[in-house]
Amino acid sequence: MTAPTTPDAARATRTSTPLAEVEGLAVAFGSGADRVEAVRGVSWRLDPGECLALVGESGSGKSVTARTLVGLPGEGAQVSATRLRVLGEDLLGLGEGRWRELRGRRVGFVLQDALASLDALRKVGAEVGEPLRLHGVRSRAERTERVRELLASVGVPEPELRAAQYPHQLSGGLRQRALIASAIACDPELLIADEPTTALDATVQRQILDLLGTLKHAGTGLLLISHDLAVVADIADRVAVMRAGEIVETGPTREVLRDPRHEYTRALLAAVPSSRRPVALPAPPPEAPAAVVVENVTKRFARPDGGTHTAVSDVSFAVSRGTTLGIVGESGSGKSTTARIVLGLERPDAGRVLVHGKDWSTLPRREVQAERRRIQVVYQDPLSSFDPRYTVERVISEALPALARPARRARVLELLDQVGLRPEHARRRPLELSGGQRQRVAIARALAPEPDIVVCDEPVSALDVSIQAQILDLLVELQRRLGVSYLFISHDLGVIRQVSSRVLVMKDAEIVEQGPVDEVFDRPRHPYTRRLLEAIPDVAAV
Amino acid sequence: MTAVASSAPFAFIRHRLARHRLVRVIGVRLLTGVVVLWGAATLAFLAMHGVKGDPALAALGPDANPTPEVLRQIRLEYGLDQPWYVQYLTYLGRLAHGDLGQSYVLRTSVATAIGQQIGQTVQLALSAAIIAVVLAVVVGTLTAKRGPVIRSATSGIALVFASMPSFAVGLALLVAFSFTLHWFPVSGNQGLASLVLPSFAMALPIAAVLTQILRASLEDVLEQPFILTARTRGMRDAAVRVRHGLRHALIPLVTMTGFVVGGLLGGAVITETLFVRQGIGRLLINAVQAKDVPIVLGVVLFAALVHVVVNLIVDIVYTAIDPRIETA
Repeated sequence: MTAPTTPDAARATRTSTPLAEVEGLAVAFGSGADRVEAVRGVSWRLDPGECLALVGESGSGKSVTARTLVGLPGEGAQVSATRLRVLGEDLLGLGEGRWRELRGRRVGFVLQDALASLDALRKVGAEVGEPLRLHGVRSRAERTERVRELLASVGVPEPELRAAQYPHQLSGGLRQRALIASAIACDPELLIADEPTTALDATVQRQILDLLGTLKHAGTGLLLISHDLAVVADIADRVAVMRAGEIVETGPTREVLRDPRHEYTRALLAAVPSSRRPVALPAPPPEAPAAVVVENVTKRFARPDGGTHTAVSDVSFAVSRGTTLGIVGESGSGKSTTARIVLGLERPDAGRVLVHGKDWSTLPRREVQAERRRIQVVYQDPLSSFDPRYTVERVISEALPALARPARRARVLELLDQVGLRPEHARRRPLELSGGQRQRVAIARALAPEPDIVVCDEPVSALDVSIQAQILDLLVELQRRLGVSYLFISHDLGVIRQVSSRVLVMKDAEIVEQGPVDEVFDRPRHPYTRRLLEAIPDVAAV
Repeated sequence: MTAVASSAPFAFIRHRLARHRLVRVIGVRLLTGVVVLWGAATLAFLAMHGVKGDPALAALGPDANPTPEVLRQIRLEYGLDQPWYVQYLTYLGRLAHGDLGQSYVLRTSVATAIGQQIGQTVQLALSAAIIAVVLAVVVGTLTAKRGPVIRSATSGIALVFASMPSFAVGLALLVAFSFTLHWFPVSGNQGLASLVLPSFAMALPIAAVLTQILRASLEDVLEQPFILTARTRGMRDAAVRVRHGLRHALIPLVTMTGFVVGGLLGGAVITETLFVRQGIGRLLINAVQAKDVPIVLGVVLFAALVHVVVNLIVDIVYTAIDPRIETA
């Protein structure tokens, strides 16, 4: 890796000409009644060696703004601005040929989710080397050597091996590094990163942010797009908060985060999971009996190459009635398999699961069917578990026990009310709802058969932070009113801390630590838990 | 959860195992292929024995007027006096040795009769398949995600060809390019020129369907984030379509092509008749009319064999297109 120069040194080399200047940028799609103004009157500038973060929730126009800078705002976009310059080029009316010279060579672009952003059918090396091939490095041998150097420089171990593999054979963190390597292949002066760490585990996110920080210190201008203020906190020099196509607040990162002037910025800050104080959880009943007991459960899967993969190894825990047990771990740690075993969707190879004292593995199938009603599930992406042609009413009715029609309808409306939706939502279809509303419907459906236990598998991971906060509050409120127990699975420690009374940390199929939430978070005993906690980006640290 | 990166020492082993998996896939395909052939043989046997008329009469040829004594002789000779299951097992046993039997009418072995005609039909089917796939790839790639005018124009043309039976397309081509323009011969098997019109008559309806399939899947692919990534690297639109888009869009096309090429033999019957060409199609029609059971069975088995082989090729092509099928 290139030795990071100090920020002061980088600033000293700053020239008077900015890398990018945007004034009065407006981007609209469609025409007539369908016209949508995605970006309105946006202005900012970025100097060499500086990082500007555009922060906002989905639909705020931050991605469109970033894509406009490389001339790819999307189909049918109408772009206007009083000034739009990048690296001395006037972007307004730039010809296609000039755009292509800018893209990849002088401006690098990193998209979210490297699995979808790298061509899955081409080897990593070919993908990383593509900008080189497009911008004049003709010799294959030279490209191979440069790709090796690039992968090494972004911290990919065994670069030759990785270059010869396909994206799906790399872990999420390595893929994201490879994507960044491809974006900086031609040594661009400006790097645009659109949600570069979203969907990554905390420790991997930390590494990617550090990598971007190193590039910034080496003098690359960085435009960072994120929905999460905590992510940008320790890397951005300046922040522009976007909402509904407009910048509502802009300023040095420290000022904006410490002393937000706009109400929306304050709302965003309050919603950042790691900064939210734990909500007052309902006190568990005095001698709460266990709703679910998992005893020494082990689950192995046959690997395609003939070996076995241990997904869950000798895991034991109990969830008391009316409380929440949080399971935290990174991808591949076995937390989702554990959830599937509790749900009765997988049979453990060893150990047993007791639901209200009954061992599911010894019960006859018919009784398991009957018991299944008492344990329900809420997934990350409810859309894929809804039939898109069904109305919300039908989605929820399906989960209800057989009832007369009027009684069923009344129950649906009652459930909608419980999850904070209005009666008119009953007639909508899943695609007509926002992400937060869909998750509310999923919760209503889970509550429909009056379960005692709800397994929540990453229920807020796909939601914007402010919506996340609302859904978490709703879950806690429902627990208080209905006395349900939650088995709450998440890779996000901030989320886990807010809702759980006990927490369990999983790594490589095993439980490395479990205990009351405050004890684990404030006095972690296992080094892995400590590493997880340190990796959380912290707004307060600015 | 599945994104487990392999570490260096195991990469070699994983590669070997991936090879093994391909071998296993081919092995399974071959086994099911045998089952398919057996099924086809059985169906053909049942169908021909359900047909009215005396196979012994048929075996003597269309113009024969034999005495009962001769008929009895024939039945004995061909085993037609045996119970059906004996006939069936004898038939399967011969097939297993590669013996397709003797044609009643042509007085040659079935293998010889098919062998004489196969070249012409393979030429026709292959050129039709190549024309169809090339047309589909070129038109699909050029028109995916273009303006509404280009899209609806090509969709309209494709719809016309897709809904026209191949003999109608053939007639139209004959009228235009043979009778009016005199560019190509009306009929026959003489050289490349005589292959052009029948190939296009077979290819156009198929190309129309394949174009729509390829374009639809390419349009899905062009929405993917990795396409945007390629554009942000400074790649031309045409290169993005060909280098990144096409390979992803090919899987459904290959699947459909497998189906269609398997069916080209059936299509050849009509086209060969229309253009008065020698080939398997003509052989089959004549055999059916003359109740030449062994020939019909032979052609049916041959068609089934083509299906099995084509699907085997399709499976191998899949792994060539998508490395994840092998190494996932």
